[in-house]
Amino acid sequence: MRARLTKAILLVPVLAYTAFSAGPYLWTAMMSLRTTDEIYRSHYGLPIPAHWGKYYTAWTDFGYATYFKNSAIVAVVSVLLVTLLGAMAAFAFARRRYTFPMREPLFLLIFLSLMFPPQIMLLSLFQILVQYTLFNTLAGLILVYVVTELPLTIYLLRAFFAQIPQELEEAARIDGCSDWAMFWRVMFPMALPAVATTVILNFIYFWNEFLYAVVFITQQKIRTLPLAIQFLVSDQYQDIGMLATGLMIATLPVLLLYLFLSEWFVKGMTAGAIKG
Amino acid sequence: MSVEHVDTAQPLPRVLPRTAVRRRRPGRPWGAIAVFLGPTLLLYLAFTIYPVIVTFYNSVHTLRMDLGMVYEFVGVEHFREILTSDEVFWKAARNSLTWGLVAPVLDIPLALALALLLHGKVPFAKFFRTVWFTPVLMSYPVVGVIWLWVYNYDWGMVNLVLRAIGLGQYAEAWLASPTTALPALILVTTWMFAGFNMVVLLAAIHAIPQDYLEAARVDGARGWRRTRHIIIPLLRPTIVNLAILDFIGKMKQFALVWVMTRGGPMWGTETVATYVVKRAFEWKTLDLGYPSAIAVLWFILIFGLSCAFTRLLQRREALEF
Amino acid sequence: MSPGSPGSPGAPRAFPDVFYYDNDVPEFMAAGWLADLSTGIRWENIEPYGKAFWTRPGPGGKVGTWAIPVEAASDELYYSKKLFRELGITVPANYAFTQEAFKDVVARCTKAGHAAFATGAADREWAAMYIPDALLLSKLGYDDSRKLYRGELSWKDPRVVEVFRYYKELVDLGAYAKTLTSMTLAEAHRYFHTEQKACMFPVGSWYTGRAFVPTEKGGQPKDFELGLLNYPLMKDGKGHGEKFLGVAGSLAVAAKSPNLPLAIEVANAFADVDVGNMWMARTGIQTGIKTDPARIDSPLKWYFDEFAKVNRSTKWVDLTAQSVKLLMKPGLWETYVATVNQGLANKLIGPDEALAKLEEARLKGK
Repeated sequence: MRARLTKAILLVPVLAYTAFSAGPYLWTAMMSLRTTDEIYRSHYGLPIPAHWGKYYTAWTDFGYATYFKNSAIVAVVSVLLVTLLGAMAAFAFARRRYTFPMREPLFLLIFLSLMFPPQIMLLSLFQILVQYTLFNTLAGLILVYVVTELPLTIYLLRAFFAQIPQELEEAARIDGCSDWAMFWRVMFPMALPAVATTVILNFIYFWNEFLYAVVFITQQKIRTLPLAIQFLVSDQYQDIGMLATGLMIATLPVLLLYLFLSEWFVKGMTAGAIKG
Repeated sequence: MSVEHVDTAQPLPRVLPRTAVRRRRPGRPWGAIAVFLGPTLLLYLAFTIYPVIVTFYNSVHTLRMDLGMVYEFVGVEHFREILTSDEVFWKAARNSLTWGLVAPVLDIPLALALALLLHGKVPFAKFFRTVWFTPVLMSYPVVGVIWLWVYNYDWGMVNLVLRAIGLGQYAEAWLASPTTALPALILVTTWMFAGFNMVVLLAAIHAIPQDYLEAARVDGARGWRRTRHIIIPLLRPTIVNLAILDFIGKMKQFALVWVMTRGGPMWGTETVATYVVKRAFEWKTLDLGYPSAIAVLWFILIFGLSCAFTRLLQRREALEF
Repeated sequence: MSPGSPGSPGAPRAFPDVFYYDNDVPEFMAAGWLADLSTGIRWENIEPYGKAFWTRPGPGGKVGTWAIPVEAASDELYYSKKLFRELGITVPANYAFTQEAFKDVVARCTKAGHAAFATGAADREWAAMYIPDALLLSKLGYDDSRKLYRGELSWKDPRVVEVFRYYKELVDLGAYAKTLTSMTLAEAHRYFHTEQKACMFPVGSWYTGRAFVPTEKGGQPKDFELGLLNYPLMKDGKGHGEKFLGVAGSLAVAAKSPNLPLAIEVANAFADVDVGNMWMARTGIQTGIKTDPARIDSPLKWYFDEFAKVNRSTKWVDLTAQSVKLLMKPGLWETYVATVNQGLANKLIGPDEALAKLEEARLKGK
């Protein structure tokens, strides 16, 4: 009995924190289905009637289709590239076979760059992108994104590759496996769970990234969703209803994926934080 | 690839156990190394190492537009000016440091409390965990807009709640005053990351071997004592990691400020990151020298502090290989 | 980071041939990325102030005319006729209150629970500058105002001090709403004409662009009685009757355009009175292109008439609250934003402290 009472009491702070945590977003979700007029008359009213059409309008008239497409291109391509390059590099850093002098210091250097604040590269990257006409292009942004997430990806995957037993590699090699095939046919498939977590981690990062995007992209038609949100804040802030709908469009893909794959998401995003 | 002959008996290598014979390596698979590491190293050189060097280079030069867009060497001139006569830089640095040091102090105890709550067999723990984790999945602009609405003086959630519970006289224009604006923003990042930290801590708690907890219980420690004396000390490495990650993240903070206050009011929320971007892109001088110098200073500080904290606070070598 | 202003050496390659150019990136002119439009444009169809605005030194100091002024906006002071009526405020014949009378207007407004100015400074760094800039103009006159912004006049000048002290009195009366910092420019419009929580609205004359649209899009209610005022007359002021007018969005041609002659012809198509008329009729915003008011066919005729009446003897001077930024050195501008748009308006600092900071920034010369 006492245990049940304790549990009930514990629920109070839990529910309070849940209200704090979920409240703002729920409010936004409600506003996304109401018109700005309705909102101004009563900021906390329920969405009755629910204007589902606003999502369609936001998609077509307010350009969210374009912004969504841009974010998708950047995120997907970046994830593909960083996974490919990161896994290969992690593999080469992890397996004993590929030792060379300076390998560990090199890895350490790449790992330490995790602690670099972006400002140390921001302005010069800007100059470099401009110089190579990659400024204001999605390609330039993708390249920067890939390099930004390579260190973490390599770090996480290396740990995984390192603990694959040497015997496995030996056995495959005896069967005539070349390095390339070893990676693609043996190691990488085994690493898929770890790769999945880095994919999710990186996807979220690329989908939500703002600093590099705001400095390197100024053209409206290649804006990513975070940029679009910020621009709409300065330009159409009064249209709270439409802005709320836009916020939902920007967050729903990630959130829906999260709801279905929550375990993966949690593992992915916390992978960098848990050590050992 | 040739196989070297060795002195000792040499049946076919595949039959011999590895440790029996010390044979010379047939030569490193440089081709494979180049293929696997090459692209990464190239990109890393081009987009990380080279830019860092360029930033250092820029920091000791200034752009002379009147001489036809030529860069002129000025030595430590920028650094001198930043450190001795740039009030805004110091304000921004103070703000960023405050954020970096206060945030972990807020986030982590809160996260720990939440993790312990969920660990304590609260019903529907999985549901709560899922909900609490969500804020970290949103981008800063999205979070910024939502909280701009939450902090609105007339109809925002904060003031609504205050007025509803009779504390209406405390309702403020939270983002309008330098004294409340930064704390308000810190609350937003706490909102974002407490759930994230909680999940990590929860996983760490689950990873504690049951025997430890059993042994503790046998020894008579239960409930809060067990928590305080057993669980929390065992979580120390994770807590330190999270604190350092939090610190670094807040020292770099740009996006939230950019969307919510742009550094105002009166530089009350200016961070070094926003100041660098402003000096570089909004000062109409096209001179990247001065902001680069700020970036260099900040880099040294963050990097130095991170290494120092890691060394100081981690009992074991944090950089494990 | 304002969209469309890379401000970078690589920008020319990203330019279209003819593009909308605003005065927030003056470095484009100095860097030589705009074509000189001194020839090839029918300048007889452009208002002289518009042409003069865009005529300035370009690359290497050579003077040219760099854009065709399309949008022109003045700094206006709109008011709600209904609220003035309710508060028993009579507007003087020349539509300008004296310093003392204006203070009284503000006091009456705030005592009745309204804000005096519907300003929202959340997303515009010059939103709360209209009043102080106009007061400075009224007291100092155009030339000295310019000197002040350019850092050639001390912020400790007794006239400047007087203006700031007077402004503080207005702020202390509650001139600005408490949501000043969380209200955006767009919301401020609404605050003024829909929620009617403020008596006056100091804002650019592009107010019409946002207000004269259907109400669902944020426009003013059909029955809202909009009035115009001139800014208050400061005692012994040199600038009575002067009002800021500035050129905003304009048409420029990329200097490196591969189709330069054609591009200039395209731009030239805008230099036409009919285009000017069309612009006014459609947007209700002033334009730097000459117009023939008699031929403007628009339901906004009442507005144009009222505007003409109020500004009958206005001396237009070249500047706006938005473009003060161009005159000021960046360091001074940043301090001006922090002290005037944020500090003074929000009662965070007093006039003396603000002026001290401004003077310090001025002396730094950055």
